[in-house]
Amino acid sequence: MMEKPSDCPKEESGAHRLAALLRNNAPESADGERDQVEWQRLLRSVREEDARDLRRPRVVRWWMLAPLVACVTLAALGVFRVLRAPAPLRFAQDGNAPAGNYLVAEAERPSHVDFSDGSRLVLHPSGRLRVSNIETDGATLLIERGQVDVAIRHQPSCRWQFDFGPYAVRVTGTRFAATWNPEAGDLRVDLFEGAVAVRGPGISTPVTLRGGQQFRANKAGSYTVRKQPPAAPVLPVGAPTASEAAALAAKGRHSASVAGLERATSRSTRDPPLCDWAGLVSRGKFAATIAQARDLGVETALAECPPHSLFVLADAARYQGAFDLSERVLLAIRTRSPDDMGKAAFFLGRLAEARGNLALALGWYAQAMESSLESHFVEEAKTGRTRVLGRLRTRQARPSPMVP
Amino acid sequence: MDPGRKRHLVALPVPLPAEMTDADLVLAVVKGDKVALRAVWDRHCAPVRATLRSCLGHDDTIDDLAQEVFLSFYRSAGRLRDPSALRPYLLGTAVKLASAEIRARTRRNRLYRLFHWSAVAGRIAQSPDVDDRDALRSLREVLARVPDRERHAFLLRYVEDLTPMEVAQALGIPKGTAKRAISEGRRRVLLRAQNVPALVHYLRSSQERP
Repeated sequence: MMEKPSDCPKEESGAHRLAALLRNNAPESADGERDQVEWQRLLRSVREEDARDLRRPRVVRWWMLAPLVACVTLAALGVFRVLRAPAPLRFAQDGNAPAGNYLVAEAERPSHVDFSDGSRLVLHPSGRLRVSNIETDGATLLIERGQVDVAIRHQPSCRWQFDFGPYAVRVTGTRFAATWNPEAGDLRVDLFEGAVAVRGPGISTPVTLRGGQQFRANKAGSYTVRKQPPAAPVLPVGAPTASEAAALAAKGRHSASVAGLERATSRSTRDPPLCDWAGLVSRGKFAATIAQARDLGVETALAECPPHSLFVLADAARYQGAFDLSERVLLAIRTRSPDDMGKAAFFLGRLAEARGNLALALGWYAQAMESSLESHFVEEAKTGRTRVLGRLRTRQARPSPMVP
Repeated sequence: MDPGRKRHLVALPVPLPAEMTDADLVLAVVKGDKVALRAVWDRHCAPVRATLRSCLGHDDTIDDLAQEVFLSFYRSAGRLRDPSALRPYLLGTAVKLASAEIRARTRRNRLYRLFHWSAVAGRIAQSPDVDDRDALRSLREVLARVPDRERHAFLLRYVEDLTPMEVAQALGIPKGTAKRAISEGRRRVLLRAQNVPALVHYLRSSQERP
């Protein structure tokens, strides 16, 4: 094999001279007799090795155990996770473990359902519900019929949902009562504390309810949000006495009011003060909203208030039954804000549909489908158009008693 | 098979162990062939002893260490990566055993540090030149201060005249690592030798000598 010469020939030659000094240190003379003796000694050692079977000692290569160790570690971690994973919520009906997920209240007395996280609900007489899904941090309950009083313990990651026919009420921690009549398609939700989001037919974006508000919807797809009548007693989380329920209900209303006031205050830094009606509407004060707008001057408001405030005013007018004012506001939005033309057209369609003017509603829905930049308004407009066409075909075009 | 053809078959002569290659000898030793082991002994005993003498000088333990080298080979013949590299393997084993012996003696004679070198190095051959004896003793002192791997690489490369590839096989390290060890060993030995009066003479070429 040809090897490259050293980079430094002088060093190389010096090393060779030193090596020669070692190599030439009195070379050993050949000694055949000693060589034979040494060979015999080696042979004896080899035979002893063979006799002790030490010729090929077992070598344990510890690194070969690494995959096994890794597998065992992973398996142990998996078992640890499974053992440490939180268990799904458990529930009991009237203090007893239920036979299944379908719960029925007797005709004479209500049924109490307690969940392991402290959440509770009361199923009123003849009510029926199904626990369709239960997880570690919440559950999905399908209310088939009847009234329920619900108190959900608030936790950062809790996920509760109550389905009433086509409507879904999403909860993160609250107390409310709900009544569902599947034959009439009527849903009523009275919220005492916290907040819920309601979705369903005729609801373009989830309707967020605050404490003290009442949500009502009917089969025609109309819904209202208004201030609820005086609060009925409702059970608090983990403490089912009526007195505590009343106290907590009052506290809930108070905190909701404070929260609404704080929101109104924070908004006032962005909008003109007299146009900020979101706080009032969230508290169900629709009449006060309209009164403030009239005090300001409707023409002035329509000319100067930002579009999002005008939408709030239009909503308040619709909830209050002031359809003319609502229509006027929406038309003003279409004139002032081209970006909001589609959204305003959709609400004008809903308004016309609620007033029984189905031909006009069809026109507005068509405009909303053409001009809306927001996809969910397009979808809602398509739904509304299909609904109106159905009503026209069945000649049942009558104005809804409910405000859309 | 045609019986007529069978008569034409001629048995090939079995090579004598002395004529076998190192690789064949290793394979035979793996099967327990003592004749092959004897052939290995005959072929490599002298180089192994020479390597041990280079490291230890003329020492009473040379024969014992040579026994240990061949016994170690007999135990681990089946695990040789390259059976044809038998010579590097045996010389590498000899160098390592010599280093281990020096370390053991150093530990044993720690209390007798004044006599350390004579105990480790064994007897110096009775060279006719006193300067040569001084130089040899000084060179062993220099080598004793070089780290094991570099010292082994230096001895195998320059004293036993192995190629860097064979040095790598002898020490069980990659070729690049062996080259670096040779270079570093040479640098360290020469650096220290330059400060030893008895060795300076050997570092000069014949033209440089006065």
